[in-house]
Amino acid sequence: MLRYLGMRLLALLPTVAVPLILVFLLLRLAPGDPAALLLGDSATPEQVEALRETLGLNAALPVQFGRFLVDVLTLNLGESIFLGKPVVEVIPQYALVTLEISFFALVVALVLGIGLGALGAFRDGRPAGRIATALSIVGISIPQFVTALILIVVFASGLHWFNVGGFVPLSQGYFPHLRSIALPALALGIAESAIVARITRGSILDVIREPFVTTARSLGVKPSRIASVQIIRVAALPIITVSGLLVASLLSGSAVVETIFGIPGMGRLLLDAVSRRDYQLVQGVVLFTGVFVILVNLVVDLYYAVVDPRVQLGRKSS
Amino acid sequence: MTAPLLDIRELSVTASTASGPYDAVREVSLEIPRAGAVAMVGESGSGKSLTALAVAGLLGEKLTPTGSILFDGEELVGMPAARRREIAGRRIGFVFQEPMSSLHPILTVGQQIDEGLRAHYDMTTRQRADRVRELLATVGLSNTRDIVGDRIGQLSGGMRQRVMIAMAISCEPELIIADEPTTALDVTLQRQVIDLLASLRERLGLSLMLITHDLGVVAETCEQAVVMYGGQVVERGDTRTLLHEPAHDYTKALVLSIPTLGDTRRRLPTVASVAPWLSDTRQIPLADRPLTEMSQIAPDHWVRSTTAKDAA
Amino acid sequence: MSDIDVARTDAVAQEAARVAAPPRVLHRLLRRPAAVCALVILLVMTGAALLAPVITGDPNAFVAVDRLRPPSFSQIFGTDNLGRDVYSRTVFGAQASLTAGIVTALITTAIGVVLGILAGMFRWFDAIVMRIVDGVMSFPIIVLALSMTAILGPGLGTVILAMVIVFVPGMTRVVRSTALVASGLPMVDAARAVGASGARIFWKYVLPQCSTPILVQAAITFTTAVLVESALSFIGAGLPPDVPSWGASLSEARNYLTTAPWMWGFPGLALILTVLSMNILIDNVRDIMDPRAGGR
Repeated sequence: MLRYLGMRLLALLPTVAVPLILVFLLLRLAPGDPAALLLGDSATPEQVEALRETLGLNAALPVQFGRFLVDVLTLNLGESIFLGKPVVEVIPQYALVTLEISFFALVVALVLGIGLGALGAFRDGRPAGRIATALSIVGISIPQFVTALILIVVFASGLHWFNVGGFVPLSQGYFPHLRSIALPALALGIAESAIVARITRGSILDVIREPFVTTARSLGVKPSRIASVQIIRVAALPIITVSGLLVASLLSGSAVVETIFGIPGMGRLLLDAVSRRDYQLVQGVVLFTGVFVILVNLVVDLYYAVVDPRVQLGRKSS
Repeated sequence: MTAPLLDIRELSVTASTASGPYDAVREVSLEIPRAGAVAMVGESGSGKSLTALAVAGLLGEKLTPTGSILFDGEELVGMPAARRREIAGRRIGFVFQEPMSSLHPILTVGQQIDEGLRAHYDMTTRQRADRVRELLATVGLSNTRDIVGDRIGQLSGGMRQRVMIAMAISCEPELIIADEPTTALDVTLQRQVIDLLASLRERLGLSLMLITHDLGVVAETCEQAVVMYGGQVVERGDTRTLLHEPAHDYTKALVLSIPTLGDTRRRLPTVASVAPWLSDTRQIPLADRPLTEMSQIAPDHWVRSTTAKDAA
Repeated sequence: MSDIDVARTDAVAQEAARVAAPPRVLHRLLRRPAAVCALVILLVMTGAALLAPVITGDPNAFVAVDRLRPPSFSQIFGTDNLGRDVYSRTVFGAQASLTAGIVTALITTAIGVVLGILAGMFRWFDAIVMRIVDGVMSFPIIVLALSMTAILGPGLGTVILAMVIVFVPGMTRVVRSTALVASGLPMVDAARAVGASGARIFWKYVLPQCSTPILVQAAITFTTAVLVESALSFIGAGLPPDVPSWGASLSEARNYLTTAPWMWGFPGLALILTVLSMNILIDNVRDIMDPRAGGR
């Protein structure tokens, strides 16, 4: 098991390595002097040069990369130019918010998506199944921000159940906090659920046709039991496989949703950092995101290995 | 004579295809006596599997049975699903052809056999576990290591087929339908499985419907045989009679194509892919041809006439 | 080996190619009503994008003294908060989104096909490159796009670059697996047995089998690219603000959601219809190619 996880970790390293190297290279190779850009037009050449020294931009590229690696590994990610604080201090509070919203969104996506997908599969061809299938294909065609806008129109402006924007931190009360993140989480989750629904439906339909289902029927096992015990066990595998990508998609979408609802999460942080050319912060966010995605994928792989031990033996499953 | 356990009368199975309904099985009639063994012989596509599935109630959505299947006096065609489920497993057991795909890939052996027991008996977990071990012993799987916790991927082909048989007999059925149980196995395993089925039949008093295209197995294990072609029964009756005095051209061709010890023929005859009366230049599809008559030529021997009726 | 034998296996390959080929798939596609609707919608969108200057006026012009006017005869989609014609902005917006989608799909396909074929042919390439490529696939695209924007500046080029990086792995995998499956087909064994050369097998036997899956993946890349570009334009990190795009229009409508629903309704509908139509086509093509799998 440990060996399996070790191999998976090695395989996942590029997930953080490639974007980070990309950011590193782009920063140093892109047109324009980063230091000059950071200081603006009014800077004197000496000031620019001084900053270059500080940032180590005058050394040879390999040397810079070496230092960069060391920095990354020791979590010496520099300071945010505009917030004046070390990057490693700034990120966690924003990260927590994003993670919280993403978590709720994931729950919504899974519950809604698996439900819709199962409906589409078990009632295939019948009206309920057709509607479910149609809903999911429309669902994957609607971007999260449109879903968010629709939710705002219906629930906030229309029914006044929620407020638009205005994030309430946990410290000010559990319920107000939840109310402020409900719509963003819903928007994100509903948008994601469509993909989950499609995968679920396809997976279940594939499994229903497998011969072992016929064997179960020949034993007189009730259809509901066949579905819940035998079919789900196998049909769930592709869903687990894709959860890693789901999380990445959620993180992507959260950047957009946070902007709409004014949530101080990683997406907003990144957006601000980008517009202010706060490179250290951008780098930090990229690193954090990459590491987080790797961790999630590892957990998913671990869970998958537990559920389907065939994977550890190196055999292909389904 | 006591009533047969299984009495099929004029069973037809119609498939609804994109180009209209198609009769894959046409007016099949046969009987299986209690504790008797009947073989269904025929090439691929002859309808033998569909007939078996119809008896077991396992036809897919697009296949509709018509006619009559009497099982111990109860009519199976049109039976409500709930009652069907009571019979499946408990009174009719099914052994499938390909155990690798017909058994659950992830659940353990014990869990899978357990499902059948749960469906029909009110036993405690401990009782079920005991029964599972009992069953595995019955099929000869107790001398090897304890496989209750294994997944089927960890078992050999022969062991998998035995597990399948254990599942089929788990709820003490009266009739076992075995759909080409040996086709996927090599010769030595075939021997073992056939012997197992024969001994189980004796010990448990089972009736057996054995689907196969291996005439050697038929001769050994089944007192009666039904020869099918093109969805129809072309000949049926006592096995010995069928093999030694075949009445239908198709059966004759089948028997002739078996090589025997001391065979001096240089080329084996093959069965022409078109039966004699089908070699009609107008090439009417089999399903559209009028059925010829089935006549009894001996106490235990029925054959379908090969002379075509007046052209449709 | 005799030429007759190779000619026979070639004939099999040709028939297999014909069955799997796009023209035949298109023919079967046209028999499905939903697919035909989807195709029509896409053609309308493309036509609108191409003919934009002809069919409507300047999207940045202030055409009405009254801002936020509901749809009327002169401005059939109404006007936005700055008094610009929503219809004009929507039509021109098609240009941005469709360009992003098509260019991304084209570049991704080109690179992905090359990488995929190389990966299929050379084991060492497969081992090294696929690992890297798979890793990138898991990274959130918008985060990557944003960080690249920080360095390279906003603009269509940056957005397309980021999208290509994240989408290439998907195409590579599709090409690689289709090529592997095709090379395992019995007709390839037969061709090898009668002495067909590697090059011949590649061009006549393997490659034709890949054409439709590649097209499908390109279509998927297109839809994802359109959605991502609109999301980026929405948060202001995509195209420059003076270029009309559907995402930007939706963003501008944020404060007028209930008061001027036409501002976001029409661009939003255009966006959804475009993506939906392509998705319907993709589903139908998949269904045609493998009717056994999953049903519809």
